[in-house]
Amino acid sequence: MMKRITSLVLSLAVLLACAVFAQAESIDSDSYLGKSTVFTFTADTGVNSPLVTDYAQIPPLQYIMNKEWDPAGNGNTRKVEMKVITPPSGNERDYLTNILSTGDYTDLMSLQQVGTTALEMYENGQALDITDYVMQYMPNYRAYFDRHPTLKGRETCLVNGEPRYLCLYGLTEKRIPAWGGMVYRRDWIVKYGKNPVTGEGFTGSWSEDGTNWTDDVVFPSGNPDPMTISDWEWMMDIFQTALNELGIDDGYALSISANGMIGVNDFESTFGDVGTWYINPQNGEASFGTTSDNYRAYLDCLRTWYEKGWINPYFYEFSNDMFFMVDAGSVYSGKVGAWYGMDNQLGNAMDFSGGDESNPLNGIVVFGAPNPINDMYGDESMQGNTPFFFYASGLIGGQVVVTDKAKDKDLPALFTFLDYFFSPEGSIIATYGLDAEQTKELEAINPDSYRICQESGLGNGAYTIVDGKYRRDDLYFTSEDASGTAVPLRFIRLEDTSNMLYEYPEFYQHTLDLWGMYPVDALIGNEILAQLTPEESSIKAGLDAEYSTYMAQAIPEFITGERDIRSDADWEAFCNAVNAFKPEEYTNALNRILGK
Amino acid sequence: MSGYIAKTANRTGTGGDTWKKDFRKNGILYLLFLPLAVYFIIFNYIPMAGIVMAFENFKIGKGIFGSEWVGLANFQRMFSGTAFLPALRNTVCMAVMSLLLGFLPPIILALLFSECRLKKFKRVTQLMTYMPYFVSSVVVCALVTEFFNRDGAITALLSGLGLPQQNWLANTDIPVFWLIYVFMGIWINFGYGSIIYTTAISKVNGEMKEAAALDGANRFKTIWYITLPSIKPLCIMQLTMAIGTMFMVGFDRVLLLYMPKTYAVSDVLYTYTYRMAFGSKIDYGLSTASGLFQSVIGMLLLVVSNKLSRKLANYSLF
Repeated sequence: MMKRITSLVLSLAVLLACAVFAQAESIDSDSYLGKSTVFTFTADTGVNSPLVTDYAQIPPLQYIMNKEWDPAGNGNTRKVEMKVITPPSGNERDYLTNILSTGDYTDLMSLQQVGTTALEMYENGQALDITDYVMQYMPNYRAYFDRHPTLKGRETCLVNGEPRYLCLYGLTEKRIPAWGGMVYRRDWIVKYGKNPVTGEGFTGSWSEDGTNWTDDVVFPSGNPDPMTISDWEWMMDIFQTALNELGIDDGYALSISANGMIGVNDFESTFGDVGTWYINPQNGEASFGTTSDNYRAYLDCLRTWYEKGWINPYFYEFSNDMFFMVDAGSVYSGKVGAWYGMDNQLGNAMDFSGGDESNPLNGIVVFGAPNPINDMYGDESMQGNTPFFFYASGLIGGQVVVTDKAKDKDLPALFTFLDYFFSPEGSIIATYGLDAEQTKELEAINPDSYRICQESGLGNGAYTIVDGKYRRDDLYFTSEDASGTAVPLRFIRLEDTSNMLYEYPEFYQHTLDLWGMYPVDALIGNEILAQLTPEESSIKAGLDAEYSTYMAQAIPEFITGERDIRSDADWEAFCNAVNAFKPEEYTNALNRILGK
Repeated sequence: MSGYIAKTANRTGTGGDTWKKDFRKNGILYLLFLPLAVYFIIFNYIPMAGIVMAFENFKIGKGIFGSEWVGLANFQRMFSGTAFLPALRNTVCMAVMSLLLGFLPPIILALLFSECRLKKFKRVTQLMTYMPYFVSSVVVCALVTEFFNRDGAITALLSGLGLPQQNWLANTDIPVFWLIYVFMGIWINFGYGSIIYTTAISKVNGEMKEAAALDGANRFKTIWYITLPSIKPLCIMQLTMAIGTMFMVGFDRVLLLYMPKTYAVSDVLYTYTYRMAFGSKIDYGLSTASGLFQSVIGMLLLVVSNKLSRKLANYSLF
């Protein structure tokens, strides 16, 4: 019975989708023959390699641009040339805004750093409705959303109640490992900690080849990693001991951002709610958790930690630091026990002591930790929840609009060309670059691109296939010339790392696994924000301005004790102030987009 | 502007000449003024058309003429926000303090320079006092941050006087941030500001000073009765201009020194506008409304101070 109902619902959904897109008009691509196939594209940032001055010069793009496209499949082929404009480094946002406001924009525009949405650009007459072209010439792009039903519907915007394609998204087949998360001094646990059961000290050491760290650390929860809030409290007590033993007066156990967050709201979900807007994984609805009791429990926890002297006493002064580089001076001086860090800090990568035992960085071993599970603060409903918020790359990434500047050009050829980046063959090139054979082909097709491959060190291809897995050339990880020119990073494409061969050291892979152990679908991605109407966009802008200013002051005050988180009067005043910003208006807008 | 020049020319001896005659007579001067006029027209007058954005729900794609007219909605939004009034209060307080505390130091310094007999000492001192003016705000603010840091030099000095050791820039008590800002402004400007007074003092008739000395006036009395009255018009003109621009409290310096914790006491209209306008979405309407508000207040202040100047010192800019 259940199966029948499910089949019925799915059939109806398919019929509905067909009905909606039935209006898509069939395009005669041959009528576009003779129109320009040279398109201009504004990328969001430049290339990190001095080998190329123009982004379009990078070998995989040159290789693909050399292909012939046949939109109608009748032999009327043509090439597509993409001229890429990159904004000046450091002024990307200003540049993109300027060209939009002066009307001097390009055929294709990345919206990554522009303070507007695809829907708004369409309503302003700047972005084209590309539905008909996507339906007819981009089967690979559409197939992605069929493979990922949870994302189905997010690829379009509602125009007069109808879903329309107004932009294209950069897509990822499989979530790529996080580059950052909570990290801590594992060496301090080994050196200054005691087994919570036996009371004996810990031991730990690097393997003989220096690639792997092993120890016998056990946290109070019985795990080898800090999995709960009580594990964290036990750990920070050890960090405090370490700081005392080492005589580091200006160090501290835990670093948090100036606005009172750890990461980008990451830590809060462990208490059951998040102090911002997010997609509730339980019902798929947009939620706003700042005034919830769960968020209050989070603040109570941080207030307790601050009172115990574990948190940087002057955390609120580091407002200019990025969330992954807060008080980097202290972190890189070996004065901090735990912080939101990056993958390049893991293991002994931060040991710059040169063997000097008096240097606090001597023997440093950095491990990653997952968001802990709350087992201490708030009532039962706030404890034991699975964390659901973690800052990580989503499946949908960058977005590009096709502007009215391109309306008189050969659009069927353009969309056929763009669809190739989402095809099985094209996505391999878009993910890994060119293989040895394709690189060799370039020698005849485009000697300049071949020279760039040679100079970047990828003359024999950017990857090899080992037992059916794709193995990137080592240079990709060590040379900016190689990584900057191997892959069309700034182009919309399907990045498919499903079959990528990862060869990370065990401790490194372990951290990536910990960072990725809980779902991360709660983040509100660009594909949702792109669908905000101008009015909803204004609501968001107002909140960004006033609400974030208020929060940036109020939250640190709760942590430092200037406001009393345990006082109902203070909490009520805070909630009233937050509610005065009418956060529900934005929540409603998000739920409209999510179809809730 | 050219009308002003013509009127000035009339006052200075070409009375009765028509504009055309004057143009023929002073053609070179007009030619010299031309680039300046073009500059002002292009960069100061034409952009004024953008003021209309303050009354619109401005959209880039629709432009000034196509965007929706919303009347005073942007101003209502600005005044009803929680951050605007504190920013306005901070701006006014810092402006008034800067004016009161910052107006006299350049004059005093210029008087001291004019009385200094040791030429080498005078030159070195002048150089040292001018220098901060020519250093980038970023560097100056970095120095100030260091000085007032928890273990900074000035903090150590203040601790020696019995005040608590703390990062003074993170202090939210009134008027700590205001004082830091004002004294930083004095430090940056008083040397450079003294140049114009030093020049004016050097033009004071020496014979008057000699006569006063023969009559038994000491240095202080010479300054009080000869020098200061001689430079009084300049002082009043400078004061007038300072009042007119007092609302333009340094955006870059505040932006570099403040932090969310101190927004309540450090946010000024410029930083408020910046933060409100350049969030995740650029809000041209609100930023133009805020800018227009500042300009109107500045203009009113200039008109009032000019009238006062005319009344008190018989001297005015217009």
